Amino acid sequence: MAREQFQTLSEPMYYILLALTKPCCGVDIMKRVQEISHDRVSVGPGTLYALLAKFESSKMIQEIAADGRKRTYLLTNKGRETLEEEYIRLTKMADEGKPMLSSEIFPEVKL
Amino acid sequence: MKNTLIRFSPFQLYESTSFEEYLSDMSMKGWLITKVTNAGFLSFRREAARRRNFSVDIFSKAAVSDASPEGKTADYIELCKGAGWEFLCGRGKMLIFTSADEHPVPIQTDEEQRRITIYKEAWQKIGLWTLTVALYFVLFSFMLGDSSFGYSVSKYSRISVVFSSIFAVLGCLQFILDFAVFRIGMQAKAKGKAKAKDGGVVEYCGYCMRTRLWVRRILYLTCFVGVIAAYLSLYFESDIHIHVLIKALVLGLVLFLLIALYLRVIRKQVKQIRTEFIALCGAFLIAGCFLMPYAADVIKRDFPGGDGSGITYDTGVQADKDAAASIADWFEFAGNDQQTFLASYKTAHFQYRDMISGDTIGSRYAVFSSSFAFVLDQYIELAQKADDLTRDTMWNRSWGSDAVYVSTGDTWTRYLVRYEDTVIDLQIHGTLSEEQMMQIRERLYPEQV
Repeated sequence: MAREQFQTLSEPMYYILLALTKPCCGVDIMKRVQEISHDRVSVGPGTLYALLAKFESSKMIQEIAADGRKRTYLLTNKGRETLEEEYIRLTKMADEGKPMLSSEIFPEVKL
Repeated sequence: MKNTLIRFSPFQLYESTSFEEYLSDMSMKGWLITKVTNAGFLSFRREAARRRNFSVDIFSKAAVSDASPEGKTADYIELCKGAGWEFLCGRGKMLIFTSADEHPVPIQTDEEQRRITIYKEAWQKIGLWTLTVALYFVLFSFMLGDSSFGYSVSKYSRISVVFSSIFAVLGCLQFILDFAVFRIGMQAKAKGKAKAKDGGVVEYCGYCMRTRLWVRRILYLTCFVGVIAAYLSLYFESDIHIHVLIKALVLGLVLFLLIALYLRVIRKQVKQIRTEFIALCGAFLIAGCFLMPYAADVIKRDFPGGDGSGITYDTGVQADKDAAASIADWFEFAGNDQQTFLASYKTAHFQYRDMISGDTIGSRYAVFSSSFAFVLDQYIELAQKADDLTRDTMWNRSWGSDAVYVSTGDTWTRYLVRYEDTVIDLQIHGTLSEEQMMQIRERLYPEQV
């Protein structure tokens, strides 16, 4: 069965939505993503621009302020629900994988 | 030491990585890119040699190609600036940035999406090119193959078709070659065969670039020669009148002005008009060539007595076919009713009465405004009586004309008489005597007798 858009989120998508749980503008979103992910995930301005456009057209985020070319976005209720579903999905995946990757089976893996 | 450098760039949209490496290489030699033209020329300015990071980005929503982007493009550039990328220049959807950071975050961090965007734009360009070439061939096939088109271009204009075909083939070859080089380069990189210079710049394929540049030079030269050949042959060898060419060029100029007006008023791209002036001039010339059939058709209808369907110049009206009229009667009719004559668009039809024998000979004639050679070619093609053409010496003596040809059918005798700058196609029942020929001449050209 074909996957619907945003049925599962990629890492950049996930962290951008996390960053937009508080009002945030373009450049600040990139910085917040790096902070939240402890510099593990970086989002380039081109990728961010495209994803913000997709999120806005899907009504997962909304523009709450505009100062010249600087636009501030915030998560909508639909975006929050999507984020929560993704979090639950990721948590389930981690929980289901944990016993399979226990130290008895993979001694070198430390969970 | 010069401060400006112009180079020709063979890079396609999907070769953004190679393009970035090339720009980085140039910056290490002290040249910074300042402009990219639609013809693929790169303009550099002199600066202190240092290594720079470049990003050749494809922004799908870009609608301008000059150095002052507006709207969404400006928003995008502002966002990239916040991430440490300074906008240098762009062309169409391609935007070129540079960063002073040693390890900047790439503009596109989603590689898969980046690849999809680049390939989509590249295939759109290829599709547009293919459509243009196909349309071009369809138009030319129609012009050269359809005998009911109304007129035919000179046989020498087929030279332009040859050159155009070479141009189209080379254009497709250019795309194939570029894509092949791209794929080979990608595979070489994947296998780790790419060499690295100081500073981490990966060497691009220099030999292939020289080959591609030469293909492009031949391509543009072929296009230039083909267009010149087409216009020269149309002017010197075809039967199209000079005012038809002028009308076609005026129509092309109108098209050019409409494009300029659209860009200036609706798109507000003043700089784009200036920077793409050469491309618009080329479009204007090509439009003039394509609009020529329309202009030719319009000019034919404006000809007095023109029938609007071909190059025949008719000077009479359809007389009552049952009425026995002499040449004198016919000319009187035409002379008294010029308005009807001009609006009738009918081939002349009259009967010549031999005043001595009393026999009535039905006849029809048309006076051509085209060159005799062209009329003769038309006659051979339409009448398919090339084997019956012979020279008639009697017409030579009677009219003093340079060339006379005769075709004998089952009941009609047809003469093509070239007299001074006109050609008369005379079809009659039976044959004319020398005296009758002189009488016709006196009626048609009384001032010459």
